[in-house]
Amino acid sequence: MDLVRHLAQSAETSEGDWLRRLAQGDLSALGSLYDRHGRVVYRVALAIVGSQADAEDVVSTVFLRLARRGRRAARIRDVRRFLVVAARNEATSTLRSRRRRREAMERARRFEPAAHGPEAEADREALERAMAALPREQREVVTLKVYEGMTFAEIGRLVGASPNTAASRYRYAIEKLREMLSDDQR
Amino acid sequence: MTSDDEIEVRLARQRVGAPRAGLRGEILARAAQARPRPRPWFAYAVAATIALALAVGQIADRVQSRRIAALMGPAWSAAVAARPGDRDDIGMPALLRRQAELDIMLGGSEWPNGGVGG
Repeated sequence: MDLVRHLAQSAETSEGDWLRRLAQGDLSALGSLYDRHGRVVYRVALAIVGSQADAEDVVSTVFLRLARRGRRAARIRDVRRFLVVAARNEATSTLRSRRRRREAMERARRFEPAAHGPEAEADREALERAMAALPREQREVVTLKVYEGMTFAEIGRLVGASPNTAASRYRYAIEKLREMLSDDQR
Repeated sequence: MTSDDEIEVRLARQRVGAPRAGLRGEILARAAQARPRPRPWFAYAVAATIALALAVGQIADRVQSRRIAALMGPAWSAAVAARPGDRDDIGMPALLRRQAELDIMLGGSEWPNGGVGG
């Protein structure tokens, strides 16, 4: 337990250092922050926009916004929260402007193609469809819980909800997925 | 295994992609181009000082002009207003104004209403 706390503390310290260095114009610190948080930012964006190209645009925008903060970057207390909140906002506005422009949605591909056989591929497609049918908030919680291994408390902090709300969103999501997937199998 | 667990297992079996490999480099390159430049504080300070000096000068000029107009009386102002040519902000010809200023500085006046200190 002490080891976990120690590791968490040292992670926060190094992030603080990176932010200070970034505030002084050291872009290698931006690279370090990207290495640590780029994936979660991408996945949150992907859960919302459902298109890899758009999710990558969101990632770029979010990290560039962080770089442009200049000296104010050093004042960020929780960089992961900052990035995730920025990604959610950016992804939502991407989605809105895409709807406004009535652009055709690229077929959602949240999961990598299955490597082993047509059965696995069919399962992937079924899950893909079911995930796409979930409300945005539920899809987000499923992504953070299943693929980022976060606790509901962490998820709640990131998405601005209580741990209980995060937990019930997850429960509803799993319930809906179960219904949709069992309908699929009939 | 409950059905919830089954769904979770099926989800966990999927691999969620990561951003493409080149994206990191692109972001860093764009960040390097868009790096916030240090603000030219010195240039701002010089510009602000000049603007302040001009504003103070203009205010002093106005005060002086109004003072002269008050000393000369309404007849003077009306006469000045009737004259075309080089005028300041109260309509006083610049040459006459300079003459009046000089007069105020010297402490006496030959002007119609008795002038300053007369």
